[in-house]
Amino acid sequence: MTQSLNSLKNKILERIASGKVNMKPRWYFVLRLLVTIALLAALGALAVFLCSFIFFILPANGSWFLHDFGAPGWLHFFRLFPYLPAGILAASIILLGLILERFSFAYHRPIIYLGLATLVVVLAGSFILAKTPMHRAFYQQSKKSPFPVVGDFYRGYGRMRSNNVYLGTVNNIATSSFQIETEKGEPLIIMMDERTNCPFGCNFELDDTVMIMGERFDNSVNALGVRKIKDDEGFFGPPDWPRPPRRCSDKTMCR
Amino acid sequence: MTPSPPEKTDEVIAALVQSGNKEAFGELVARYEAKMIRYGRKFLFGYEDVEDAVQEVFIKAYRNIQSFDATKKLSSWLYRIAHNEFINTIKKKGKEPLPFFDADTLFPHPVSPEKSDQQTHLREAKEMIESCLSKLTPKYREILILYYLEELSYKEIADVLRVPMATVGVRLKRGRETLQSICQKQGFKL
Repeated sequence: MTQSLNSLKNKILERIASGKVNMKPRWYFVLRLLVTIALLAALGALAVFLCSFIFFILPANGSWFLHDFGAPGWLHFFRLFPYLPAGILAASIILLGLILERFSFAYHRPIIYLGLATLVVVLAGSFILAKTPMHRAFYQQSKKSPFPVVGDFYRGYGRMRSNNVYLGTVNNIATSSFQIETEKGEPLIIMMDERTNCPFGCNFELDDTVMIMGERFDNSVNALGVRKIKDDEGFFGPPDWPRPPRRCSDKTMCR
Repeated sequence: MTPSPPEKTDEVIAALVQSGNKEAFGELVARYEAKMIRYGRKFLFGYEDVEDAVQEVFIKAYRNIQSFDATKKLSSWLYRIAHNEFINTIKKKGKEPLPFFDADTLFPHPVSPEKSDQQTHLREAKEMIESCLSKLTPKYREILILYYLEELSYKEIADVLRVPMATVGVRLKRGRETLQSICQKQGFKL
């Protein structure tokens, strides 16, 4: 045994002395630490950006309000949910956790604490970011002059991506129908009957912003649900979906 | 008779190696090779080339010695390298399954008192380990070796395995119970 140990020690020292085994310099480890910290910061920033983007975009494209229409609304909500940003967000949080696990302050605690702490930091960061005008600015800029990658992101998720959901402003009211003007300036007649679900009442006024779920036939929509959207709704102040310019200066019927 | 000079600590020797004293590394190898070989032989029970794996542990320690923080314990750092190397050996050979994720690290657990636990179970655990250890999965086998044979503390084991201290306690308890049941099935009398 002693002989074996001596030979092991000698083998190791011989390999070191032969120059085949070299010590990595200190700067290599400092650089590695700096790269790890930069990666953590980048992943953290990405997670915060995506989380606040989801909070912003759900009310902005109107899909956040769909659940008020009951089961069909939920179905639309899940169909329209921004799964790609949410998936990238989940992956970045998992990656963040895996990198943090290398540090003693993290691995000395149960993973659940690390996960919760990461989630709280990301949520807090996204709330702060959402309070800034950044998303709104990007969103509006993406509509005015399209710019690549980020602009595509806002343009793609910022519009209502369903053929059965319409957003617009009321500009004409009749007994069992009303007319809206959509974002594109397109007039649509909304037909209502006893089956129409109005979660907050069916009394609409001119210039109300409304969301309609229903089937379209040419220029009319048989409404399954109609919901008025107030200016102060949304996660962070008024939702910022595209509204058509008002055609009337006062609240009178426009013809 | 003049008193012999106090022996240099592992961390002082490591600092010497970091400053370029290659010979000092021989002293570290001398201090730890028996422990590493014992750890390797018990953990890699039934595997060939344990000594090669141990040699690789020291080579990796030398290569990465500049990453060692001399204010911390060298033994934990070295055992961590050994743990990684031995786990890699198990993975390469593919003889035993290694869990990708350990649910014990997910939730908090109460930490059991370390000293009373060690005194109560030390003798019987050592006997059981010697007789039935090879039947245990690597997850429990390793922690029992580190605690009962290498006599590392909960804190040191937590640093080696990179798990919370409470998980060390839970895993030790489960490892001991599993070992006990394996030993009983084999007719080993305590």
